[in-house]
Amino acid sequence: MQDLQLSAPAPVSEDAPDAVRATHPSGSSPAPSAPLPPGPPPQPANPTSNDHRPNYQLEYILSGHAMSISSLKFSPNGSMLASAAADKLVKIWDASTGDIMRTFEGHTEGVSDIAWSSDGDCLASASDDKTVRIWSLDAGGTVRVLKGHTNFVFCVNYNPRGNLLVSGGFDETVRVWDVARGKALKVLPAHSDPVTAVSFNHDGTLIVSCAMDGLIRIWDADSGQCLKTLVDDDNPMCSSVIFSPNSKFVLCSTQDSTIRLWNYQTSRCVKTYTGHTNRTYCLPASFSKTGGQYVVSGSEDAKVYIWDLQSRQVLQVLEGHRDVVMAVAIHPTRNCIASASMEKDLTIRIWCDEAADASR
Amino acid sequence: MLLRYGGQVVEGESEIVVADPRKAEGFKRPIPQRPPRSELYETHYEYDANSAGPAPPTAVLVTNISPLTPSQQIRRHFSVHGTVVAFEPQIDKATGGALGIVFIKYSSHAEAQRCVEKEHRNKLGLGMVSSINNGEGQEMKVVFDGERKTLVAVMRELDDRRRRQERAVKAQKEREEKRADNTVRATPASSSGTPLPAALSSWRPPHPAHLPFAPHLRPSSGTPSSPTVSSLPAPGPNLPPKPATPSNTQMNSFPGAGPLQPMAPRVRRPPQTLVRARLSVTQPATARVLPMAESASSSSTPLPPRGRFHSTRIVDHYSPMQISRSPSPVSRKPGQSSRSAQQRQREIVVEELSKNGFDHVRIDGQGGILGGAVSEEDVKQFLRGFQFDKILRDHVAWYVTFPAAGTARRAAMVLGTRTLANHTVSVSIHPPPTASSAAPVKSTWTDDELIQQATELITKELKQLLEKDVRDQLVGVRFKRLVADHRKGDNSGAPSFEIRGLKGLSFKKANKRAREVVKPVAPEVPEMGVEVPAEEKAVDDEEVVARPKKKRKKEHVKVVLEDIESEDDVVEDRKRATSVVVEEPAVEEPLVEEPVMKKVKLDVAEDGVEEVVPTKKGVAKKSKKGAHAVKTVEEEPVDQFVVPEDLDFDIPAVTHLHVTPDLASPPSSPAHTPQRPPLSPVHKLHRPPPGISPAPDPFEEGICEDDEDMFYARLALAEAAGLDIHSLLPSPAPAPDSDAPPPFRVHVTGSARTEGYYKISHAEKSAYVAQYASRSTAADTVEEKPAQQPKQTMTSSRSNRANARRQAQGLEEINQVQRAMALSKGETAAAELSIKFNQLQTRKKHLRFARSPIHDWGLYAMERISRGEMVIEYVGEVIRAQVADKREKAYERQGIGSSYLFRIDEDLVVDATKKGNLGRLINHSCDPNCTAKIITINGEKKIVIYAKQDIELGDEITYDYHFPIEQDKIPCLCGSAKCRGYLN
Repeated sequence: MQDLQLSAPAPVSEDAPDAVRATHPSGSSPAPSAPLPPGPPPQPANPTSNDHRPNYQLEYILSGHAMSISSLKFSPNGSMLASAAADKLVKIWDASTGDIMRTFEGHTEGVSDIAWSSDGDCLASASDDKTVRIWSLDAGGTVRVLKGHTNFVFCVNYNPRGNLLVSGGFDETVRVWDVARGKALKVLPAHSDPVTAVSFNHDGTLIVSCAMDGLIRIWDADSGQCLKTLVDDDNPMCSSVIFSPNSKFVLCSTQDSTIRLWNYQTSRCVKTYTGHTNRTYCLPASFSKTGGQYVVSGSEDAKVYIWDLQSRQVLQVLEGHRDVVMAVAIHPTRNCIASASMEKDLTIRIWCDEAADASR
Repeated sequence: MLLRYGGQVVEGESEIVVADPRKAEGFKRPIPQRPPRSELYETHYEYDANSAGPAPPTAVLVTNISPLTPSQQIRRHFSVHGTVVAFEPQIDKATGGALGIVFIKYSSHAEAQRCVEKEHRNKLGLGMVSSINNGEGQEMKVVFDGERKTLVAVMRELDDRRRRQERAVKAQKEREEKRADNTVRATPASSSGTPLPAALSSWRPPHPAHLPFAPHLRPSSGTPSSPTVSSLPAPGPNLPPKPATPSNTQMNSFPGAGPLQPMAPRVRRPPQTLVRARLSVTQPATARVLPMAESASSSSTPLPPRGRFHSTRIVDHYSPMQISRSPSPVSRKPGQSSRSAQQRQREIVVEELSKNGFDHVRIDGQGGILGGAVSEEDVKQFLRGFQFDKILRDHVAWYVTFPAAGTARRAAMVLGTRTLANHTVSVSIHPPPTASSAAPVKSTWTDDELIQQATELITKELKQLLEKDVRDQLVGVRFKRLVADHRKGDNSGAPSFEIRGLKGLSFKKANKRAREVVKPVAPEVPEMGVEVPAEEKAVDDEEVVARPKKKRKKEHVKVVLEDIESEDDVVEDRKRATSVVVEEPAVEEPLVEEPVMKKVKLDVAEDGVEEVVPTKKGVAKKSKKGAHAVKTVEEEPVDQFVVPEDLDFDIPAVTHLHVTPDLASPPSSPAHTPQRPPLSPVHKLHRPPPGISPAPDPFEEGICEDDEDMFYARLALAEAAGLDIHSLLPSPAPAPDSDAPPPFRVHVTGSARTEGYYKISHAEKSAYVAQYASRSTAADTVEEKPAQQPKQTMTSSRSNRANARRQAQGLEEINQVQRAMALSKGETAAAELSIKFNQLQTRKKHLRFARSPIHDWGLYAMERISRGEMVIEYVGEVIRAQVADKREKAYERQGIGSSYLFRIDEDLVVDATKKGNLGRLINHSCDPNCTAKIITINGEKKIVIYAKQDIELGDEITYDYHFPIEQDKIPCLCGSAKCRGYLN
C-alpha cells in the first residue's frame, strides 16, 4: 500500500456540492451501519474522489474554557456540543447557535475525555482525578462518580445502549462500568502503557482499545476476552481508535503522524492517511459520513485535515486555530465539524459545509 | 395445513381409530431411565451472581485447639484441605496469648467443606503436643463461618465473660476484705456463679487446664530467680499465667511479654474465665502437657483444688500429682531450663552478631523446625562454598556470620536455592543488631519506675507541643510581620507575586512596573500578616473571583494604550476589587460586568468590616505614597491584634478557600447566556459576536508580541485566578520528577490528554499498577522465593534435567568448536581462543538473573567461576550495522530503554533485544569481572564472555561495555571504585 503524499490542500471548488449530488446521491445517507469500502486499496486516481471536495467554512468561534480543550463531542441528535477541558469543566453548547447552555463543574482535576450516552441525556467525563463522572442534563449535575481507576482516566465511551461505559487510563487498565449501578463490571489489564482510547462497536459487542504501547486490542464486551491484537511493525504509540460506522474496521491514529484503517478480521492495515502532524498528543481521528466519506483529524500544525476515505487524499485543510487542534467532533446529521485547540487558542470552531448540507 | 379438532375427519377420510400402542401385541415396556422419585428433591444451584443470599462460606472457624499448638503447625495442618487464603489465629487481646481459636479462609467452598468434614471432632494431634498427649488432644470444633459472624460472636462472648468475671472477682475481693476468713469457699461460688453461656460451652475453646487460678489467694512468694516468663516477679498463684505463652514461636515473638506482666495484673484475668469455662473438657490433656513445655508457667502456680471441683475424676486423680510435682525444682527443670537456655542462647547470638559487625544471614525453616532437626554439620554443608565466620543458633533459627562484608548478600542469593538437610529453608540477610538491642533487656520494672517513665514521656511530648504552639502562633506571626515590614522598607526586594490584574505585568519595562506593583501591595501584607497566610490567600481568591479574566484583559489593553498611568489606576483597581465600583467597568463592558459586580458586593458583605477597613486604609496610604509612613501606621494595629486574632483565624480561612472554586466559573457562564444575540447562521462570523466575548486575540490587540509574552501573560493571569502557578511552568517541574518520582504526576497543562506523550518509568508505574508493584517487590526477593516454592523432589528432578540440558549443550558446542578449530588453523589467536572455548566449555555455567543494583536486571553466578573460564555466550540476531542503526532508533522510539546491541565488527552487530539468552542481561561495570571476546567458530563470529578474575558464588557478572565516547552521556551506576561515571 502506498501512502499518498498530498502536501497542499486542494483548492476549494465552487461547484463541489453539485458534483456531490450528481455523482454520489447515496453518499449523504448517514445510515449508522453504512458499509464502508472493504480492504483492497483502490486505484490511486479515483475519478470521483476529486469531484466532491468538501467546502467547510468557519461558522462559529466559541470560547469559554480557560485551559486547553481536550475533547469535543456532538450529542447524538446533533443539537448540542459538549466540550471538556483541562480547566476541570465540561461545557455544553448549543450546536446550532453557538450559545453556551451549561457548565458542569465537579472534577477536581482536568478532564481528558467526554462521551454522550446514546439518548443524549447523560454525559460521561474522564478526568485526571481518577474518576469518571456521569452528568445528567436533566438533573443538571453529577449523577454518578465512578471510582476505581488508580491513575488518570484518559478516555471514556458509552456503549450504544447506554447502559455500559468503558474507560481507560494511565493505570493501563480498561474498565467496563455498569452505568446504572455505578460499579465496575470488568477490569481488563489491557495494556502495558497508558490506555489512550476505548470504544464500543456499533452493536456494543466489541470494545476496541489502544495504548501508548502501540497495541490495538479488540475485546469481547461480555466476557472481557481479548479477541485480537493489532500492531504495526514500527509499534508507534496509538493515540486514538474508533470502530468504523459499520464496525468492520478500526481507525487508529498513531503518533508517527499517520492514521491507519485496519481490517481487524484479517489484522491488515488497509488504508493509511498521512499529511498531518501528530507526534506528541493523542489527537482523535473520526469518520465523517454526512457529506462524503471522510476521515477527519486535528493536527499539531494547528490545522484540521480532511481526507477522502477511499482515495486517502487530503481534500481540505481547515486553518484558523493557533495551536494544536486537540479535538475534532463530527456532527451526526449536519455537515459540520467542530474543532478545538489548545492553550494558545482555547477556542472551539465550528465549520460547516453549507452547500453540502443544502444539497442533501 | 390441516387442523383436526377432537378427531375431526375431513370428508373422504376414514374415521380415525385410536388405539393404545401399549396394548398392542408385542409391546415392550421401555425400561425406565431413572428410578421413580420417592420424594421431592431439593435442587441445588451453583452459587453465582444471581443467587440470593450470601455466598457459600469459604471460611471455617476452628475452636478448641490447644493454645499450645504453634500457629504454624495449625496452619500446616489445615492447609492440607486446600489453599488457605487467610489464617487468623485469635489472640487474647489482653495478653497476646493464643486462644485456640483460628479463623481460616479457604479459596473455595469445597475446600472449606472438606475441612469441616475431615476436621470436625478431630483431634489436632501434632508435633510435640501429640507426642505428649498420646492422642488425648481435645476434639476440635470446626464450623463454617463465611461471614465471620460466628467468630465475632465468640469473641464478643469472651469479652462479656471476661467483664463479668472481672466484676465478680472484684465483688469477691471486696467481700473478702470484709471477711478475710473463709475465702477458700467463696471463690468457687463466684466462679460457678457465672453460668456458662450456651455459646461458649458449645464451642469451648480449650485452655490449658493446668493453668488454674485462685483469685483469692495471694501468696507473696514469687518463684525465685529464673528470668523466664514463668518466674517473673509478680505472678502469684492467683494470677494465672497467660494461657498461651508456651510454644516456641510465641516465646520468640513476645520476648517482652514477661516483663510486662506485673504491669497488667488485670489483663490476665480474662483467660481465667476461659480456663474455668473449659476445665471440664480439657482435663486430660493438661496433665500430660505440663511437664513438657508448659511446666514453666504452671510450675509457679500451685493448683488450687477448687478449680478442679467440676472436673472429672481422672483429673482429680492426676492433678494432685501435678501439684506435688510442680513446685519441686527437679520436675520443673526440663522446661524451665530450656526456656532460660533459649533466652541465653538468644543473647549469645545477638552479642555475637553485633560483634561481627557485618551483615549476617538468618536461616530458618517453617515452624521453627530447624532448631532441633538440623545439626551444625548440616549447616556447614549447606554453606559450602562460602567463607563463614561463625554459625550460631538459637531455638528458632541459625545465624551465620561472615568475615567479609559482601558475602552475606552473595550467600543469600545462592543459598535460597539449596536445601538444608532436606528442609526447605528461607534465607534472609539482616544487618548486625545494634549494640543497644544486644544489650540485655531490662526485665523487671517496678511500678514506680513505670510511672516515672510514663511521666517523662508525657512531659516530653507536652513540652514539644507547647514549643510548637509558641513557635507557630506567637513567634511565627511576629516574625512574619517583621519580614513584611522589612520588605516594605526596601522595595527592591523580589516583587510580591500578588498582582493587581495585568497592571503589574509589563513586557517592556519590567523593572519599573514591578516596583509599581509592589508598592500598592506591600502595605497590605503586614495587615494580613497579622492573620494567617491562609486568610491572605483566601482574600486574594475572592478578589480573583470578583474580577473574571476577560475584564482583566480589557484592563490590560488599557494599560498598554495609556502607557504610564500608575498609582491612580491602581487605587481604582483596588477599590473596584473590594466594594465601590461603578464607573470604569460600566463603560467598558456593561453587560458582562453586571453579574460580576454583584458577586463582588456579596463577597465584601460576607467578609464584613474587617476586610473592608484595611483596604481603605491601604488606599489612603497609597495616595500618601509614603512607604515609611505606612509602616509606622501599620504597626499599631498589629500589636493590638496579635494575641486575640491568632486564636481563631484558621477556620474562616479554610471555608473561604472552599468557596472559591465554586465561584470561579459560574460568573462567566451565566454572563454569556443572556447576551448572545440570535445568530444568523450565515458566514458572518470571522469576528466573534459582540456579547460572547471570546478570548480576544492578544496578538491582534497588540498586547503580546510573541508566544513568550503570551506565556507570561497567561502565567500572570493564572496566578491571579488562583491557579497553581507551578503547574504552568513547564521545565522545572518535570526535572525533579525523574529523580524522586511522585506517585502521580501533576499535569502541567491540566489534563492527561493535553499533556501529550511523556515517558513513565517503571518506578512511577509501580505506584498505581498493581502488577508492577508486585513485580518490583518480587524482584527483590526473587533470589529466595522461587527456590523455596517447589517441593523437595521437584527440585532434584528439575536440577537433574537442567544439568542434563547443560551437558548436552556443552557437548554440542565442543563438537562445534572442534570443527571450528580444524577449519581455522591458520589464525593462531582465534585458535587459541577456541581452545579455551573447547576446554572450558564442558558445560554451561550455572547463572541466574535477578534484580541488579547497577541496572534493571543482572546476571549472577550460581557457582564459582575461575579466571579465564567462559561464562556465557552473548546470543542474539546477527544483523548488519545499518540494520542495527535503524533498529536502535526503532527501539528507542518504542521505549525499549535498555540497549542489547553488541557490535561484533564494522559490519555486524548482535541484537539480543528480541531474541537472545541470559547473556544480554549482563550489566556494565567499569571494574568488571569478565571480558567479552569475539571469537570465530566455524567461520562465524561469536561473542563470548570470559571470566577475567575468579568469580565468587553469587557475584554479579559484569563486563566493560566499551561504548564509544559520545556527547549524550549515559551515567554509570556500577558503583565500583574505578567507576568512570559514564558508560560512554
